[in-house]
Amino acid sequence: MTIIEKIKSGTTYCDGGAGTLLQSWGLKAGEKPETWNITNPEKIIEMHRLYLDAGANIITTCTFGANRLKFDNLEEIVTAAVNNAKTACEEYENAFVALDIGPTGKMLEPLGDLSFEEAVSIFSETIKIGANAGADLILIETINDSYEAKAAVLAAKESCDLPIFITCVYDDAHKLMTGADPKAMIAMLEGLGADAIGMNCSLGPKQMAEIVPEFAKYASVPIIVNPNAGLPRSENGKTVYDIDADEFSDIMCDIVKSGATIIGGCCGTTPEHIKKTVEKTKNLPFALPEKKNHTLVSSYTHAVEIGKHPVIIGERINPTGKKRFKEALRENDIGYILNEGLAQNKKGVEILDVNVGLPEIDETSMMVNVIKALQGVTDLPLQIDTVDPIAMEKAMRIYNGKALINSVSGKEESMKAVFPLIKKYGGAVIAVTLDENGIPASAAERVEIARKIISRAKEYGIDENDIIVDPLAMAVSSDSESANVTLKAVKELHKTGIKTSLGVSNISFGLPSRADVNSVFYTMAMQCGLDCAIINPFSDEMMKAWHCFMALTGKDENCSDYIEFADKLSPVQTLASEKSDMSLDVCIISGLKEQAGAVAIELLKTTSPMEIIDGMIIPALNTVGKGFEEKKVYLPQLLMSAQAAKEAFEAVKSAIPAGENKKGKVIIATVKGDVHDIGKNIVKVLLENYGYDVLDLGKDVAPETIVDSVKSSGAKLVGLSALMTTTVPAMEETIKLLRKEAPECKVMVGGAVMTEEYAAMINADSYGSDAMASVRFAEKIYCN
Amino acid sequence: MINIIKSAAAEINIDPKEVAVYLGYYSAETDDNTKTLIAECTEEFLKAADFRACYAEVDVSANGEIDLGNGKIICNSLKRNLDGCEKAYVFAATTGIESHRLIERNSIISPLKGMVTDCIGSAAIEAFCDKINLSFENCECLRPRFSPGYGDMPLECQKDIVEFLQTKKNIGMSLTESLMMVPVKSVTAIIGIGKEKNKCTGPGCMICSGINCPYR
Repeated sequence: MTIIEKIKSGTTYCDGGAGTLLQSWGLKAGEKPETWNITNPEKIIEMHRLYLDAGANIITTCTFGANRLKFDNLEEIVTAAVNNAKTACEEYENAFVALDIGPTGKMLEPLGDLSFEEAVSIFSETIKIGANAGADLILIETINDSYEAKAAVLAAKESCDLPIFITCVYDDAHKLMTGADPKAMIAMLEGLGADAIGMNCSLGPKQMAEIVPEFAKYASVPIIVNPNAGLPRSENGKTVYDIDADEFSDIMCDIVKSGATIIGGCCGTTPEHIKKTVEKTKNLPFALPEKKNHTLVSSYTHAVEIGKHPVIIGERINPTGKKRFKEALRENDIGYILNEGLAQNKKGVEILDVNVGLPEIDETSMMVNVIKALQGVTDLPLQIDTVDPIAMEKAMRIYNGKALINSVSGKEESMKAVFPLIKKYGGAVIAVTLDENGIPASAAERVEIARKIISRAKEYGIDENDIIVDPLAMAVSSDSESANVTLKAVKELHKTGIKTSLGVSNISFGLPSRADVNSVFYTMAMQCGLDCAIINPFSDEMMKAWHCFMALTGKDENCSDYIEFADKLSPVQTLASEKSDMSLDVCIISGLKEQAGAVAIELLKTTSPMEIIDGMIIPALNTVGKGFEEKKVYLPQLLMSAQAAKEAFEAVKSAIPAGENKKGKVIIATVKGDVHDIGKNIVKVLLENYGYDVLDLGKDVAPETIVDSVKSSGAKLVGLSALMTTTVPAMEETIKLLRKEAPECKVMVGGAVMTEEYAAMINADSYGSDAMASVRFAEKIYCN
Repeated sequence: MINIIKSAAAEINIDPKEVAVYLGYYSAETDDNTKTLIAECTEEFLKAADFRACYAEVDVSANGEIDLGNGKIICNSLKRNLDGCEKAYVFAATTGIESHRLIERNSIISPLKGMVTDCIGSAAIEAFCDKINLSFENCECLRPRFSPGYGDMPLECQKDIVEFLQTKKNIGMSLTESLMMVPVKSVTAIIGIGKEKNKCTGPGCMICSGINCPYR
């Protein structure tokens, strides 16, 4: 019998805790248990046997911390561990060796500094050794971060053909340490193709019993539950747990009744806990989870279910027809793109479309950078929108969750490129109803293409719930039947349970007052059963249509969301009329952001842009800056003024011929190894205020990258920031390389640990004690 | 044994005046706009925060050293701090990963909001640590928290503490290669358990010899 046959045939038992047992046999505090595979193999084998005698079917190798970050002799340890487990299993029937894979102990990017690919590589190394040594399955466990879970499962998929089981650590709020709830984890892990999923560690059986129903509700694969023996406490210097084998096994009965079919124990559990659990649960009815009929996409915190109510996919991260966005892409201004995402988040979109394709840029690397940056700051699931299969794959790989993919079509070539990616990385995909013959004119033919796509997807092992059909909205101005056809197709697809999506705004192409046409068409489509739509959430008309639809169809209890939305609509209009009464310098000095922008727009009617900048914005900023230097104005006030000035700048910028307004280029970066950039961001906003063309390279930037940017941009000034003594050497290294490769470039430095002396020691040209100091130094370089 | 504690956000009292000190106001009166911003961002921070701490009691050798399994922590300033203590707490605390994300998010939306949220985070982690330490059984005998980077205690000691307390698993806190803590608002410390009450105790950093420090 294989392990897969075993878990499908009846309740399967994992082993229990190892630490307590090994410590009672002499493992010292701080000693790594994995080394016992070599130094005390007989004890490890004995431990496995105790669990096998207790009735366990799955024996986990003693390799929890076995990875290259912690062991130089990894191969020796992992091979010995698998051999020990195999030796123990020899005389038992239906006993399987699970290669135990624990977390790396590091936090992944962007929060930490372990790159996703490095994590995959670390896991792969251990898994390859374990699989070669003859493990029967991979058990990834005690993972408390969804991104690390993805890296581990992907590593297992790419390194061996063994079944993959994975259990994560949920807390009493039913979330992973980095925020994911069970639904999000189920969506991602099932998408990745894990064979069994569940939970272990941290909680006792009582608390886990509360989480199991959530798993049972959404999971289609077998559920694993390995609790601790309750909570630990110290007794005479020893750690003891508060739930004994009797109580433990009683609660495990409830857990099995709730839907878990693979059970065992974690910290504090003993062979006795497992033995009693086996005795009490082996005769309980066994039922595998039913296959669920839902469409889920997920982020690192939560899943969005498509099919319950019309889901809004925000369309604004897309350069089509947007001058400012294109400029941001060309200038690698990730901050602007992130703001577009965050602003849509605020408007209530549930999924963000990400399209960063522009002929003159490297779409793949931009897509990867934007996705990485977005998932560092917004918890919305993302829709990866590209026609380039390489960009698509790279983005799906590093995405932290189960993404929505835009799109696949009925063309054979498209399906061949996209479906293997969905199968490998998981994801739901928008399927547009066109094929080699183009877009059919009738609804019936579009539905036919949809069916063809779904059936081809099935051949790749992709569930039909993961296909969301877009029957294509075409301009009604060129074909008066086009809206009818699209709506009919939506209705038809909805009737047969197929989920639908539309890019709504195409419908009004070529017509005046497009927002009105779009919003009415949107309402009509929702009425036909539309499940999601890519729309502009900044359009009041579209948001009105959505909120009204939700309220009118009973999807907004007490109309409370609608009322909140309607409340927010009115004050903006009153504000607009008040704007122009103040002078620009007062707006800037008082830090009034909205007003500053509006006043600047007004001024443009009578004053030249350069006059506004040099005659009003800069003098106002100087007043505030001087106040700051004299310690009469404080940093928050300086920044409020800076933001107001920025708003005014943005308003007049469009009226200036390209290149004329900039004083000079300044490159700024937080140095390699340093991940904090609050100070650097403050410097950036002030330099921009004073008219400098700031190229922000971000944080954790390698010296070579900085040098390359200096060379390619011709900047005469670089600003470097470092927060800690541990990263100052990286700053020194950067300066050395700059001196060698770009000796004409000046360097200013700043950051929490920096001092005048320190700056001189590492050969910087200037030390900026605060953000104004960096402006003054830039003036020295560029204005003299 | 490693003890793990969680605190609800409602139990953490963030003093806006302390936030203003971090923002550079020191003893000056905070302006109204900044006051409002601090209040808004504090509310947001407390919603995002997930206060967790873990600690374990360890022996202090006669000459003021601590053994965390990976070699002894020996440094003169820590020795002075632990003088007369036979036991100490190894301690770590954090405001959680979502609060870290919030600081990142806010600094993208606006550098001002980012900076204010960052300062709130600093005040929050201090308030949380104080609260936890005051809840310790023998709190009146505790020495001030002594963290890697203080005096001659090397930052490298962070690694030993993080490993010893298994902070990644227990409270979701880890270190980068350059020894930065993630989440950013985290603390690791050694806290001596003295024998006499009221010796060497004081709120926050008031015990420090830097009487001219602006944060005081």
